[in-house]
Amino acid sequence: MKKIIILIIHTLSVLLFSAGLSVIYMMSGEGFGISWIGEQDFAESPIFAEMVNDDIARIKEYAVLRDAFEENGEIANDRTVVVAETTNGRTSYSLRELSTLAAGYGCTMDPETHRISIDRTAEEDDAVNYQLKIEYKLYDPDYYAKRPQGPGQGIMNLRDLSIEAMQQLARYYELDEIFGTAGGNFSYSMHYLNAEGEYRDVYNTEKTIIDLMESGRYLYVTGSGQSGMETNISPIPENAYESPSASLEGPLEQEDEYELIIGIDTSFPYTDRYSEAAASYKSDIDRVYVGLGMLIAGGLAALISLILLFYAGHERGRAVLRPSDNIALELYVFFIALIGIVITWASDRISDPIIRLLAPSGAYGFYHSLVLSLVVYALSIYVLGILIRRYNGGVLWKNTLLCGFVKSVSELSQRGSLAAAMLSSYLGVILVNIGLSAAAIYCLLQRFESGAYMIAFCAMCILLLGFDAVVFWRLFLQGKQREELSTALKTISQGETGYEVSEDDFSGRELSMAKDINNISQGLRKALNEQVKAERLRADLITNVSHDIRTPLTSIINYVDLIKRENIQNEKVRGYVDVLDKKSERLRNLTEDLLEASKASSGNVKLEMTKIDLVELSMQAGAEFEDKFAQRSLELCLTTPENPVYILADGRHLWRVLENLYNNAAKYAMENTRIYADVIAGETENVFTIKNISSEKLNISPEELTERFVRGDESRHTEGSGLGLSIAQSLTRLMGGRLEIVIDGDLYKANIHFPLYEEGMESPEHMEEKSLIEIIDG
Amino acid sequence: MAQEQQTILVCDDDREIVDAISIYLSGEGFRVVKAYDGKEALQLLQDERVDLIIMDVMMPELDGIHTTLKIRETSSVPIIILSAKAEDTDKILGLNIGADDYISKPFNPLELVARVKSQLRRYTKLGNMSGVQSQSVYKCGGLMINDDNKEVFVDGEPVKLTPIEYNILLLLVKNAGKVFSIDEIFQQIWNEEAIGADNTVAVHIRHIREKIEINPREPRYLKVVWGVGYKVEKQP
Repeated sequence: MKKIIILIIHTLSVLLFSAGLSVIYMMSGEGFGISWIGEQDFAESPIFAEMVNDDIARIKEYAVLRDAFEENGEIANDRTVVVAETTNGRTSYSLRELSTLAAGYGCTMDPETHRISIDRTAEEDDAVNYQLKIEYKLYDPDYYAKRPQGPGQGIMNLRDLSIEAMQQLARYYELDEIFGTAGGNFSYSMHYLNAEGEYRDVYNTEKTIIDLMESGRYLYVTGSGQSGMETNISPIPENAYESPSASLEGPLEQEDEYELIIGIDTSFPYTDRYSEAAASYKSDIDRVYVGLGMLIAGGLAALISLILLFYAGHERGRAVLRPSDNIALELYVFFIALIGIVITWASDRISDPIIRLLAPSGAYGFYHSLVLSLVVYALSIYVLGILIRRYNGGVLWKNTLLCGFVKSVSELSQRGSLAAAMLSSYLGVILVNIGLSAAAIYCLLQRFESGAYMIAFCAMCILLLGFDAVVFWRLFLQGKQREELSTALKTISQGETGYEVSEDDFSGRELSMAKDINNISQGLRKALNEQVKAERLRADLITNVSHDIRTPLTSIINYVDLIKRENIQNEKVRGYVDVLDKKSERLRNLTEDLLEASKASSGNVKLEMTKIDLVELSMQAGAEFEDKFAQRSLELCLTTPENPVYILADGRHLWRVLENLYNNAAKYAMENTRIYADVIAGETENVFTIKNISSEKLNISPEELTERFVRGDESRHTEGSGLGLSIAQSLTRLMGGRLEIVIDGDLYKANIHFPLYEEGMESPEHMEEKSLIEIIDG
Repeated sequence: MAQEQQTILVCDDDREIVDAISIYLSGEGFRVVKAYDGKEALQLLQDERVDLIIMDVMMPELDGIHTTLKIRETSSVPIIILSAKAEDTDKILGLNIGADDYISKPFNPLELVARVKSQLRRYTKLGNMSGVQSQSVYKCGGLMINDDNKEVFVDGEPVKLTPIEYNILLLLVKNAGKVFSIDEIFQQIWNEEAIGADNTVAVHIRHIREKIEINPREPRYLKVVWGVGYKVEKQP
């Protein structure tokens, strides 16, 4: 509702604006625009000057006609007025003869008012076709000079000639009434040389220029040129420059050949055309002011109502779209334009007769244009409304044919094969380059014959460079994006699965690649997280199960021990208890090793990495196992460099590794053999090696030895759990080292490799001391 | 030595384990009081005079950790934690909150008895000996060396060491807290440069450990810093 009211207000405002425009147009019809309204004094206005200028022209006309028709205050009826060539030879016509002829053709002059009336119904006689070749017209002294040249020119029939003469006579009477009598606000005096070469005077006052200067506006011109003119009329009336017979005479030879004196009493004491014009001038100014007021008021109101119109109910995002908004914008606008053309055509037919009926003549064109403008304006406003509504509805770009085109092209280039897209873009670039270059060369070949070629050449060059720059920029961006993508791929492939690229930095195909990379990264991270979680869960499970096994195991071990203390005599029972003792001990070892193996293999171990001397460690280990080796008559041969051999490791865990290796040697080495332990300081790695001869056949691969826990392979029938090597390998790996088992016949060899120690290698991943309270509450 | 019978509170939710421990301790002449959860233990402590407590960690009602914290508010009675949790963090936690020793299940009955005796000796005997201070007496926890008559006591019990073992232990105890590498020890004791790979020192140290430690694999005094050397922990 509100919108409709605003629309009505807007329409009225536009009409008011148009009305103001019309008023101003009507008032400024003199060709001076509206600049004159600033001048309150009529005598100062250009309208006044124009009036004077017109009067000067009429004075000249009057002078010529008077020379032709008047003699001593009477009409010279017998004077020859026209000389013409007829079939009968050269004929002269006097005014009387022409008057009689004219009367015969139905053209008569009222003796009182001197107005002529032509009776078109008068019978035409043969004279109508009586052709004359005019040689001379007294009332048109310039005729001969400016008559058309060539055969068949200057031909007239007698009827037209006589009527023309009568009309000129009537004109003379008319001018004589204005200029022939004294009195009035306009005074003049003209001295001139007429066509006959006689000096003549025409005037309605005998005052001198000095007298006239006092009356208000004046003009005095003598001889020729502006130098001879004195006037206070502005702008200068141009007609005053030339004498009435200037075209005949050529440049004036003497100063006194032409003199014009004009004076206008600007107090306008007489009632005549000047006083009337002065009076209407004032009212005209007022009317223009009114018109201007209407124009401004209407314009402002129209503008404000227009803005309100687009704000009313047009909030971004809340616009209610109409079904018509689904039509493609181009089609819709074209349709409206079509309607506009029809309306324009129709209004030509309907409004023009009305305009002709109502508007003053000379303003038809203006009103015609005004109506057309209003129609176009109304349609434009409608289209603007549609644009705004669509913009607010977010479909301005979406519902256009261009958008659809662009979309389908980009989709094609997105979905189509990369090769095809590359080929087509390459061809496109080549074509554009060739086309623009060809056009530029064509312009160059024209040697810039006109400025247009020059401009076209420059335009082509700029277009070419600009286009290539844009293509280069696109390629550059694409290259950069690809580089980023490959960096991302590399980073992810190197194991940093959390790496993601920012999708905002990419476009086109690269964007979809970036999305895929991010998907892979996310997937990997998720999988990894789940795996870590599963490992943790398994480790936790094993830990909990071990704890649960330990409690009953404690009872079993303790009660077996108690039975053993009961001094049992029965040999059989003592044998059974021994079995129980051994198996419960084995179960306990298994539980311990299982727990440790599970933690080591899942990496759920806290490391305190420090600088470790392999030599010291091997000595310490050797001392710890001295007894065990001695029990089986094994000799330990330890070879170490003189200097310490440093590596970065967790001492306790590395000891555990060595302990397992020494333990294996103590258990499985053939009795009475030597066990060789070596510490070797290498160039890239430091190595600890332990070798022994197996007491049993080693029909097993090194992998099977170390991966029993993971694979669940068959166990060897010894007291160990078989997890020792697995634990050793896992721990070594966790500390950044490598455990290698070599089996060569009965020779069993275990190598531990560690990177060389460097200063500052201690990483901050040392044991995290959980706070006491945290553990208690957890 | 006519001695008053000492009372030991054993607290574990597993009755069989409590019974087994009770049998071992009774056999050694201790009086045993049994409790099956933390609350019960706290209740018993109010009525009985207890000389030592053996406490499980995972128990219903009130667990061993919180019970220990509660007891420590009022008493400095020796507490040995006996737990199925054998992680380092568990041990550190237990010792930090005020327990005097930590034994993980399954345990060796003989070791348990030895540790119980050790704690009792320290608590009863060494407490009185604190006044006996001499220039030539070095103490480190329950370990005491009297350099005047070359005697070594662990929790008040004399230990027999060879002269070299004695010198090594004296060196380490004098410099408690400092880590000595095998070479350093060799130089200090033999007063000459170490030649080549010789684990004599390491063997001696193992022997010392076997003599002064209840469980040489988990030493309380002479600790192995693997790959670096040996040290005696600084203790009050």
